[in-house]
Amino acid sequence: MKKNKNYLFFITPGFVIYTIFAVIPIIYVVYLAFTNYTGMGKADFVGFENFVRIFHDDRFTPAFFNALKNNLKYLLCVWFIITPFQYFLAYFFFIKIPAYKYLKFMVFLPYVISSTVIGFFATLLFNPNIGLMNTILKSLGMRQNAWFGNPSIAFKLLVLVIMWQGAGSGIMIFYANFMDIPQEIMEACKVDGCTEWQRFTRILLPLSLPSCASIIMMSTIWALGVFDLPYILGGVNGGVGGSLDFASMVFYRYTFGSGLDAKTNLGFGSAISVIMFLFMLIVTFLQNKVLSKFEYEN
Amino acid sequence: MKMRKWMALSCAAAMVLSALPVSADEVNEDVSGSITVWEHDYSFEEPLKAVIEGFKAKYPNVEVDYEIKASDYQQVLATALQSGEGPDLFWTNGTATDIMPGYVKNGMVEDLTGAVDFSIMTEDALKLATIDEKQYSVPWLTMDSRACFYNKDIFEENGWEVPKTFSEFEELLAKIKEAGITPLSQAYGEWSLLFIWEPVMSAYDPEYTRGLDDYTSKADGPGASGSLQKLVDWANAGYFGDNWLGVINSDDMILGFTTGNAAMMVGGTWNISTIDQNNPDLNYGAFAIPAEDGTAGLVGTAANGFSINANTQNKEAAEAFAGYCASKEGQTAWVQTIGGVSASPEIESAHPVAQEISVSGGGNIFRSWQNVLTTYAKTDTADTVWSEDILKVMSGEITVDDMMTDVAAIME
Repeated sequence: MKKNKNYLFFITPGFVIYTIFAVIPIIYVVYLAFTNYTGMGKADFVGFENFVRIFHDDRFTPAFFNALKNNLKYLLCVWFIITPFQYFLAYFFFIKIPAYKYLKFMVFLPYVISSTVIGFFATLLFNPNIGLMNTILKSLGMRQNAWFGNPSIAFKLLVLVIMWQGAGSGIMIFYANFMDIPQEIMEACKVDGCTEWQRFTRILLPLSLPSCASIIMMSTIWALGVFDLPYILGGVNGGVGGSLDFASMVFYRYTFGSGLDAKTNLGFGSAISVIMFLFMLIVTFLQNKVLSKFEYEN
Repeated sequence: MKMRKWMALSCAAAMVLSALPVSADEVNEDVSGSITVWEHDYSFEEPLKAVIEGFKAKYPNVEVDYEIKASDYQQVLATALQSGEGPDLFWTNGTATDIMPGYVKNGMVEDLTGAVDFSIMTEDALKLATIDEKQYSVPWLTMDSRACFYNKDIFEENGWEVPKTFSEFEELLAKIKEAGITPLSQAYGEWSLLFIWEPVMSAYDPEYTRGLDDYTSKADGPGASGSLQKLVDWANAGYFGDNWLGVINSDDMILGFTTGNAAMMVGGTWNISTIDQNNPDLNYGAFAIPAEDGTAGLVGTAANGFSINANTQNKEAAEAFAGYCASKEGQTAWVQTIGGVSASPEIESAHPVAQEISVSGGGNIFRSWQNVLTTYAKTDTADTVWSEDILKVMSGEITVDDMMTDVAAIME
């Protein structure tokens, strides 16, 4: 019996495009990680020198691990604060709390605004010289704050700003998931005399676990690569005491240099990328193991 | 026969004339095309526009577009040049940093020797453009120096005067603080901190700073550590405001001064046009921070301008533009529009504040500490060391001595 190979026609274009734009660049980055390529001129092979520097450099290593620690802190915030926040807001919209349409609009609004503009809004609020918050505190005769320049609150403020900006995406998925639950189940639940709490814990929660898994997965990848908002709010050096420093920012500083004296070091940057790639691979692999329990057969 | 001789002579004359450097004296309609120029900061937009306007009057058939790449300029430029998509002309810091020498080494910028008339340039300015006795950029004849800007209205209202000695300056800081006003608007950024540290260094220990010229003063010397400790003490005393660590960029720092929140700000002379734009009604002046013996000086160098991309498709037009930039007319347009301090006796500063700074400096020019560091460092990590450490010192993560130990470790 002749095997039908028509599927190859469908797979080939995607496979070729993916190989050119994703697989080959990854292989090229791994190659560069073993060179001293600056972005100009020749790339000389330097063996594991870049990797040794990542783990044994007096200046780079503490900064990199402090940044990784911030990434992990942020990841925990995603799991235990941001995702539950999104989930419960979506639930409140689903049960149609008063003024839910207005609230839904207000929550979704920041999501469609770019991070740069969000950063600008945050600056207008929290800038110590011209920011609204200090102006209000001053007029009330209260002590003003350095906000993002205060290492004890900078990270918390960043999480708040990210929640304000990005909550909409998760809420949208959770809300769509709730709406997708068959009406018959909800009605049967009412007829059987379920309380709201029972409806939530026995029906909504179990049936929305797959969307939880998707959101946690996407947020995790985003959390490990976060760059734009901390860069805008804390500066390229990651704020006071590295309180707003993340792995992508350390990568950026040491790969492309910072300020006017930027010196590109693509070889070293590639080595950082390889380490980050492996780190993300491990985190997502472990997470997948846990999240696979959330899935159910339709 | 006669005719042929004349033709030969005419051709020879045309060849000789075309080989001569571009002159900015007359209208030239032969050069045409379109070029793009990249600058790195919006504070240079107005002078660039003025230069382009003057150039277009001389070269009406050349279209000049400019782009201000204010964010991550060097990274964007390097990527563009590597991909062959770079602008025809672009700004670099010249030989003050390793960027332009790197481009020269890799054949990415055009050799302007002979193509551009550099006769108006001062020796200091030419140093910024010259590598192995060849010129690769056109410097600007502005003195990029740092000065203390002050709000004249606040000073008059409180009866304060411009200090004449370093201790008077410190007393003034205390008085302003007591009056409930922030003495100095300051940002928690490595460059903003460097730009206040260097003039304070020259006032705190002029002898040490003078020794930086020939490197008889080491980068980790007592003048450097003592003056940096002064900054730490001032920050702890609240002279930068109680929440200055939250001001992360120079734009916000300038806003702190132009909105009247702070009585003074130590910044670059290139900030003058930004100050004017932020608050055209601000009544302000500037002075060089004086030393204890009453003398004062300015830390700074001439500023660098544009280089030509070796891969430009419009070499003739790009060279014409570079030539115009190097002319007295082009330089005058730049210096006077930016409101900068002139580095040439042939060009007058137009802005009254720039003139005040010139007078206040008393003709004393000090070399930048950071320039010494990058020149004499034995590793290529000098910029990383000072830029990371100065932030850590100011936020209290490390001490001044820790930073000086790091500096000493990388110096020749």
